[in-house]
Amino acid sequence: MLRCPVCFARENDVVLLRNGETLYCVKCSFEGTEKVVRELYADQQKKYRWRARRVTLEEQREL
Amino acid sequence: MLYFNLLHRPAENPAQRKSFALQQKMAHDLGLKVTLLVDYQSLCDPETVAELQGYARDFGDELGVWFMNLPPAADSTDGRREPFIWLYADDEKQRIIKQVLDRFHTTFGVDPVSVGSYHLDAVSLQILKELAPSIQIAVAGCFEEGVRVFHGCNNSWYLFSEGMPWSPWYPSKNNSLRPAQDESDALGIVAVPHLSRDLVLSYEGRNDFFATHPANVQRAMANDGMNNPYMYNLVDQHRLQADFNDGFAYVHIFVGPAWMSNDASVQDPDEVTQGLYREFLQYFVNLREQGQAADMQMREFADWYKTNLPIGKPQVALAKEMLYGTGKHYFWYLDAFTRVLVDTTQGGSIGDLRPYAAQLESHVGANTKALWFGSYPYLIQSQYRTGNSHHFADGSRTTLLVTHKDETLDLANVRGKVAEVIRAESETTLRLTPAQLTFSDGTSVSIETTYRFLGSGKILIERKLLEGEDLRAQEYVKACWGVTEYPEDLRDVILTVSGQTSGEMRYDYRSREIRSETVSAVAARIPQIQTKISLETDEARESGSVIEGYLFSPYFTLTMNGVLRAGKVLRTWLKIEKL
Repeated sequence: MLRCPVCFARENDVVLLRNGETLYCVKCSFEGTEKVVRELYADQQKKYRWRARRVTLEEQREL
Repeated sequence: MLYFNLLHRPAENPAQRKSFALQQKMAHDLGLKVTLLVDYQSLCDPETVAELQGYARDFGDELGVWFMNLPPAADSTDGRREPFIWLYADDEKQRIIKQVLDRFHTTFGVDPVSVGSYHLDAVSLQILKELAPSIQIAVAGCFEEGVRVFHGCNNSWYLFSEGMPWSPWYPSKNNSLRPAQDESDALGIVAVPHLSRDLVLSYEGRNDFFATHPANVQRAMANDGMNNPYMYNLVDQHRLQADFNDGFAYVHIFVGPAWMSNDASVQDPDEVTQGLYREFLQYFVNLREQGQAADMQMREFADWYKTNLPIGKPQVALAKEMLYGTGKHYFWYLDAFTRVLVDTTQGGSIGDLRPYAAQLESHVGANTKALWFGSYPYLIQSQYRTGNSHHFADGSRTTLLVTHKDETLDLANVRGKVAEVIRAESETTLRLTPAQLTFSDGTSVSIETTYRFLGSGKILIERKLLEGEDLRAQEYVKACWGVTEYPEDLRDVILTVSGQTSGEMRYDYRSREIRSETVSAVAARIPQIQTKISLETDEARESGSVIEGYLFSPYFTLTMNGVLRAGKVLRTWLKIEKL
């Protein structure tokens, strides 16, 4: 199951429905392949600039 | 020291059995203490009961009650039912809670010590205590869960428990989300929040994206497969609070089995989800081995908490943002009279303010005035109610406006951080980094803000001009009342000025203003939430005003105007009182 990347971008969880290779959203006008969905997920994740960064307790004290 | 509770819920259907067994195995293999909160449906299932009894016998798991999958409503003819206990009418709460407790007693031969629900209101907790005095601790609410989770769950998740503590508390008899003032006000149990939420991102976004449950972090897509440092950053955000709370920090982990496999909100493969959970638990074991954390079952934690933390003790949190990569600071202060959020990125403006002093009686359910809206009302909520100005006018917030010649600058447009937090028996002091402001003629000033939280709803705001010429300075509070993102009716609010010419007006959305010279207090009395909010000074300020809003700007504004002199401190009281 995949969530709609457009709805996810506005913090709403909506599971995509499938029509053959095409996934589509019942809540908004998004439709696309799984590849497109995952590319949009990756775009969304860019906002989490530190998602790969461990900030330890000691580092948080200094932050 | 970090104290943590690890709770599991049993499988709700056969498909979840493997996931539940896996969670249990992970915890037991790591030697972690587990509390199992059991729903009514599971109590009625002999196979599940036998499994739970095995865990209690073999591993010493504590067994308690989770109020979900409840017995059908008495008058239900078609099998429909509310899924959650908090939404039932009081008489149904009584009937259901009794039925569940009876079932627990029949099944295990004892009454529970620990219970939980995403929200347990004061009426539910009273019923629980009356029917089972053995109950010592409850999972009673979800910190800052409300409007945004409602939106995020397709406008279909009716849990509104905003405005509550982020860490364990003693719930009040008349409102379980408010910390009790004293023994007579307390329900007689310890309450803990459901999961520990990111104290930055739960204010700015969905709390169910940023919580101490790996699947929540996956739901936010804040991990890259097994690479998930944010999860540990979040635990450490809570560990950091020991520095400011006499060595006490707390994390709550409560995981149902549904997340572990094929969950709609998790886009990672099951092996990643399960691997993340095991690594997450391992982190706590590592901390425990280093002497930096202690795992406790719910009963044990309730005893520890009651022994070590007295009713009415203020809690604070300094939260630093660690996912978007700003490192911004928020400071939370909470006692039995107020909950305050200081937004240092907006010059130290108050971004959220809850008047616990009002001791508002409220619970939720089909027969109540509140219906779903259990959240403790706010006076200021700068996320929902505009805050700093953009688009049209500003909304609920505080700030300092400084004027040089004819130009006015807003401290809320200057980013700062927390410079120092000092805890003392009767005061918490928060000092912020100096705010540098430069006027268009090149004149620069540096202003330091200090909040002194003195309890009983009294906050002393100190503004010190560190550098620059004397300035006119306006202490500014724009507020309202509300429980959601939408405005509530402000008619009946009374605005008053006490000064050379005193006056008052009843709020009527007519954009009026009362202004006076030589002012000692400006205030709003809000009967809807039995609250008075005021700005006061020990020595009369040059002038002050109360400003009525209008329908397109439904707020009231309190101002105190004076001169901020070089090297001097301008002190203004912000007071929250019960009407």
